[in-house]
Amino acid sequence: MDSAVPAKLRDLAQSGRSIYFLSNTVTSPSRRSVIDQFLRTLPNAKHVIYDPLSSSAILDAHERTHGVRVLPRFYFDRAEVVVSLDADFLATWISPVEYAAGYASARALESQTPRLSYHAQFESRMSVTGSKADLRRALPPSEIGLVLNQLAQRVGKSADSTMNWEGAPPSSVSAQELDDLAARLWDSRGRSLIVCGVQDVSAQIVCNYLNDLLGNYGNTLDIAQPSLQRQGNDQALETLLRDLRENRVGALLIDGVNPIAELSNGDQLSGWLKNVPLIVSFHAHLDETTRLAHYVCPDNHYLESWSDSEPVSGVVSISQPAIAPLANRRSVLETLSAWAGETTTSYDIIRDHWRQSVFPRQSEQASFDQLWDLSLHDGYAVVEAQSQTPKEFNLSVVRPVLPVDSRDANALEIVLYPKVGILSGAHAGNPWLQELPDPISKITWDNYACFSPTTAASLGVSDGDVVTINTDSGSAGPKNLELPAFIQPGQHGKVVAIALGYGRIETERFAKIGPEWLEAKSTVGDHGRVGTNAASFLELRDGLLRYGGQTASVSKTGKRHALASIQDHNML
Amino acid sequence: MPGWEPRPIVQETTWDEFQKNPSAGSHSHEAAEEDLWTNDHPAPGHRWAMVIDLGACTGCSACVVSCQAENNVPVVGKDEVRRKRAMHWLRIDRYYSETDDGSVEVAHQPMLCQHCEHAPCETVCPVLATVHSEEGLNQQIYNRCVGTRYCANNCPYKARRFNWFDYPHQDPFANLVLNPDVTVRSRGVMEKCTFCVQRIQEGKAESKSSGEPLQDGDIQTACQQSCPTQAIVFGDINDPNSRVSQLVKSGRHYRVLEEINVKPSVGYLRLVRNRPADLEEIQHG
Repeated sequence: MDSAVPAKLRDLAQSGRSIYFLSNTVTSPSRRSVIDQFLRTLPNAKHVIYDPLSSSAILDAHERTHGVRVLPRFYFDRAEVVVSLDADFLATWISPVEYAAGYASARALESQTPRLSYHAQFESRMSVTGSKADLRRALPPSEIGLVLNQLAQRVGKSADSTMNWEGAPPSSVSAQELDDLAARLWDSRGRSLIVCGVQDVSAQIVCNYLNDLLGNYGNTLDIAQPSLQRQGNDQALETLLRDLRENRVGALLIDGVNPIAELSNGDQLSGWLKNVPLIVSFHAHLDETTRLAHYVCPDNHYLESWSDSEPVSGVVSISQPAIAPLANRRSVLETLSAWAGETTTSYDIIRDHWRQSVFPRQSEQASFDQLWDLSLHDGYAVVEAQSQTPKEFNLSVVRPVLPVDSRDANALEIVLYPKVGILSGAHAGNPWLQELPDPISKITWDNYACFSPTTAASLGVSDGDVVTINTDSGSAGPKNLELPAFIQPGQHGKVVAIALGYGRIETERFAKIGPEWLEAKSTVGDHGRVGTNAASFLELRDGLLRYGGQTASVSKTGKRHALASIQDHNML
Repeated sequence: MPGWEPRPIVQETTWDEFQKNPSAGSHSHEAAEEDLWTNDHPAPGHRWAMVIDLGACTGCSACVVSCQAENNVPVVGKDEVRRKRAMHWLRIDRYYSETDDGSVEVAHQPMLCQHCEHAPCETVCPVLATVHSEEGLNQQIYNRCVGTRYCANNCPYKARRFNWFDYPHQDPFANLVLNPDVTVRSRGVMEKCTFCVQRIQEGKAESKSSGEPLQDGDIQTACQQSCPTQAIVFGDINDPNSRVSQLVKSGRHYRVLEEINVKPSVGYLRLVRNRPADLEEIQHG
C-alpha cells in the first residue's frame, strides 16, 4: 500500500485531475501540518473540511463583519444575560461541555455571593438547553431570525445607532417581552451573550451586530483568540460535489467523515464516487463511504497513539496512548508521512511539530524539552494564539433578516436536529449511545418525527403511528420519508422535528443484540437498521448545509412502529 | 390519575424568592415521625453521601453513560427496554409542568440508589443479600442473592435492577470494554448503584499505603467525574469540611420522599429559575 497509493496519486495528479483530502474539523496542529505537507507533494491537491453538524454560517458571517473567517470562543461564564436562538449549547451545539461548565459557573447559587444568569431561549423544538431556560418561546424556524431584527432595533435605539430597522417584519414574540429582554441586554452590556444556531449568514450577521452593539466582543466572546472546533466550509464542500458530479476528481482521501450517510444525496453521491479512480479511507469502521474505498488504511483509536489538539487558539494539549493498538492499524500521521516519503512515528512527528511550531509561540520555557515535559505533565500548554487580527466591525453588511417566502400558514416546517448521544451519527455503532434515553423524549433505539400535541391531535396521530413526511419545496425536488410519530410537548405547532444520525449501516449488527429467547423481538426496524436516516431532508444550498426549513405535508400510513420509551418506567 | 397526589419530588423556586430566603420553596417535613429504629449503629469512620444540584443539572445524560461504562452495566436491546428491563443504575427523570401561559416547563432529576440509612430494601431480603456497610453504603452481595426481587418491590426510589438474563459476554474483543474492577453480574441477581465502591476502596487503599489521610475530592464517582456542570458532589459527610457536608447545610438542600423517613444519603439542591416571584408555585411529581 505504501508504494501503490503514492504512485497512483502521482499519476493521477500529473494527469491534471484534482486530488481532494476530505475531512471533518482537524483540531490537532500536528495532523493539520502533516496533511498540508503531504498535499504539498502533489499538484492540484486540496483539503476540504466539512462538519456534519455545520456551523459554517457563523464563520462566514465573521468573514463579512470582521474580515476573519473564525468561530468565536464563547465565554458563558462571563455572561449574565444569555440569549440563544435555536442554539442547543448545553447539549449538542459545537462544544457543549465547555459551554455547560461556563454556564453553570454563571449560575453559582452556592458561592459566597450567589449569582444566577438570565437565559432566554427562542427555539422551534424542545431542546435540552430550552429545558433550562428562564424564558423560553417556541417559534417556527422561519421566525427565529425575525427575533434578531426586533432585538437589534431595540438595542440599536438604546445605543443611538443610526441603523434603520423600521421595515423589519414583526415576530410573534410579544413586544413587551422583547422590550424587557432588550433592556436586560443593554443593562448587562459587555456581560451578555447572544448565540444563534441558525445556518443562515444574514441572521448570523445580525447576531454579530448585536454582540458588537453590546460590547460583548472581547468580553463574552473572543475572535482574536478564536475557537478552532468548527473549521468546516460548506462552500468548499459544494465545489467538491460539483467536481465529483462533473467527473473531475482523480483521487479522494476521506478522513473522519461519512458523506454518503451524512449528506442528502447519498445514492447520487455513491454513483459519482464510482467514477473516481482512487478512493482512500482512513476510517476504522466499514461505514457507508468506506465501503466504496479502494484502499482502507484505518487510523488508530485516540487511546492507541500519540496525538495533540488545539481546540481554542493558544491552548495546546498532548494525549498519550493508553494501550497498544488492538488491530493491524496505523496512525494517519504515520501513514501520510510514509506516503510523503518519510517513515517515522507519530511520537516523533508530534515532537518535531511542537519543536518547530509550538515552542516558538511561548517564552516561559527556555528549552524545548522543558516545555514538552511540562506540557506532558500538565496535559496542556498555554501559548500565543496564532490567528489573524480581526478588523473593525463592518456595518455596511448588516441588513434585517428577511422573512422566508410567503408560505402556506398551515404548512409544517421540517427541523433536523442532533440528539445528545448520537449527534451526527459518527458513533451510531456504539450500543451504549443507542440505549441512552434522549434527555427530553426518553426514547431509546430510534428516531421519530416529533409533533406538538395540538398538531398531533389535528393530524390524528399518536405515539408510534407511522407517518409519511413529504416535501417538494426543497431545492433537491420532492422527497419523502416514513417515520413513527412522537408527541413532544413544548415544540412549536408548525414544526416536524427529526433527529439526524440514524439508519446507519453499522447498526445492522444490532439485529440480534439483547437476550435471545422465545418472545424476543429485534432491536432493528423493518429495514434492518436502527432508526431512519433523515439526511435526505438536508439541503446544501447557496454554500450552506441547511438543517430543514422546507415545508412538509404529513399523512398517516396506518402502520405502527413500537417506540422504546423509558418515560413511564420507575415513576416516583 | 386516581390515587396520585402531586408530591414535591422536584422542588423549585424563583431567584427573587431565593434571594429573600435561601430555603424558599421548601416542602420539608421537619417534624419527622417517631423512628422505630434505634440509633445503635454509630458510624465513626467515613460516611459516604452525595448531593445533586438540580439547578446545575442540564439532563445531558453524560453521567448515565459513564456509569454504564464504569460499572459494566449491560445493554439489553430495544425489546427488553420496552419490557421495562433497562439496566441503567443511574437514570434521569424528566418532569413536565405547564405554566399559566401554556408553555411547558422541564425539570431533570438524576435518580439512583439513595443509600438510605433506614433502607426498606434491606429489611425484606430473606437471604441478607443487601445489607448496610459501616460507611453508610447500601451493598448488594451478588452471590447471596437468590432473585426474590422483594427489595426492588420495596424500594421507594425504584433504583434496583434485576438481571432477567445473562447478557452476552461471549465476544472476547467486545469484552475489552469491561472494567476489571467491577463484577459482571449473572442471571437472576439484583444490582444497583454502589456509589462506585471500587473507587472508594481504591482511594482508601492508596491512602493507607501512602500514609496520607484521604482528602475531600480524592474519591470521585464516575457520574460525578463526567458531569460537565459539576452538579454531582460526592464525599464523606463525617468530614465537616467536605464539600458534601457544606452542601447538606445549604438552604436549597432537601431529600426526595423525605416524609417516608428512610433517611437517604443522597440529597438534592432545589432548582432556582430566574423568574419574577409572583408566578404560581409549580409542583412536579
